[in-house]
Amino acid sequence: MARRVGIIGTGMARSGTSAVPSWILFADAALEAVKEAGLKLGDIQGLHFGNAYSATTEFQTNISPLVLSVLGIENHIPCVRYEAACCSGSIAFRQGYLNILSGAYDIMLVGGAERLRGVPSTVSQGAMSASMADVERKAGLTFSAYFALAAKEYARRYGLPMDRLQELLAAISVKSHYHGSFNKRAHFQKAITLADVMNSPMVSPPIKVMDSCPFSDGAAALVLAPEEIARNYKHTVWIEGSGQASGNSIIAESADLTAVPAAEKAVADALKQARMSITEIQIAEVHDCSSIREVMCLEASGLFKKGEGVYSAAERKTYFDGALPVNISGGLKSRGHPVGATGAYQLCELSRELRGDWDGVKPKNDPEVGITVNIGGGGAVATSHILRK
Amino acid sequence: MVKNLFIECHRCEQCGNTTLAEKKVCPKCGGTEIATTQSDGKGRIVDSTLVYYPPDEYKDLAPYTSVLVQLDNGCRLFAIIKSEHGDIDPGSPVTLVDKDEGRGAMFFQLD
Repeated sequence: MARRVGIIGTGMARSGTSAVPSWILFADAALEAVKEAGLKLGDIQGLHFGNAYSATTEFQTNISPLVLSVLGIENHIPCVRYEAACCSGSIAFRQGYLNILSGAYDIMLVGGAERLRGVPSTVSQGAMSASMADVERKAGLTFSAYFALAAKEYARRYGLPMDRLQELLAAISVKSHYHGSFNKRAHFQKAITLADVMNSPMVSPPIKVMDSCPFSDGAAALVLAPEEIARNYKHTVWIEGSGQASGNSIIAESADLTAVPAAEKAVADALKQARMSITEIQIAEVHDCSSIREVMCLEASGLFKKGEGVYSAAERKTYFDGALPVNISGGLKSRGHPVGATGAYQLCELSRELRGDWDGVKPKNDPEVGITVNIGGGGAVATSHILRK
Repeated sequence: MVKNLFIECHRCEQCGNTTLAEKKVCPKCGGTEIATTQSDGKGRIVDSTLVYYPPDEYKDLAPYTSVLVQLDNGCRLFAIIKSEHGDIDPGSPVTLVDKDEGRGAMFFQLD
């Protein structure tokens, strides 16, 4: 019987624009997480750290020992940085989890940090485009153009006129911003209207600026421990399932632009480990770098049937008071997208939402079990975690 | 003078799967005999969109039409149609008309 592993500490910096380097920003989140866990820094046995772009944006590699140095941790614990685009932080989390599951370690510090805002935007954009396969980046493809093609294929398949599709997608951004307006750590803490989205400039038709998440700075950290330690905390959230998968690195080779096979596999693996059905999930934090991506997450996971995810926000099913609250943090759209930290934010947020001490808008359905879906690049990597209070 | 334009693709000798990106092993059948093959750049539009916010290196072309093309040899790739076309009907025939060897883009034109 495998060990049960729990989340005993969570910490998040405000997402937005940071004046300090990512490794210093992460230290703030880490100190909050360690404090929540009631531990000393010397109790940490290893660091798994997610960061996608520091080599380019901050001209800094070998960043994980630097994080330890900022934290004054000099007891020679192992540390490593993971790069897997937008999944860097959740993969760092998963590796810390697997370290404990193996029995090799007990208390791990995991999470991620990124700095994309406090550096020149051309540097951020150049760094982010490097997450696309070079053969497609050089062809002038952008992630927004990929989402545009996915949205157009989705509309064709389900018989949606383009203006109707745009309205339904806009409702997702409106929901994200409404939720994010209550989140003190969100990049954009402002509610918006359907008209704000519909009147925003076009990026790649039918995708508009307000369908798209910002680049953000940010950091999120968690402390993980095995059952014999974690059961002594009232606030422990248990990791019931963990899935990670890969998919088409090259978008043109995708058989179906509306599908995310890596997310389907990651969710299926997490559910299998948790011995659960997707219908048991009561709350979710999913990857919404573009509003159509939230639809793709909802359908790849099975939270919504194919062709029905697009109506989720317009019908208020995914609002805080709906049957399945999704992204009450504000999601990537409103909380922000500090790429290498995003997956760790989702896990911190879901933990607090389940514990009941989430200080944003509270889910009305008093959830006990929830899921994260985190996707990197054009679907080349994905993770999913199932947490239970 | 008409340029001698072609696209170098990679074709699995066992199943015929053809890709733009190089493979050592065919993802469809596991075949390891992958040969380079030249396409004359004729194909059809799978889908298209406009790019108003391009990568830095293509700022001079924006807005441009980003197209997913299926070449007659089955290879699918992204390319650019210079100028603003809006929606192009899927299935429209296109031909390669230029390559930017420096930046790497291939430019197509509607037949």
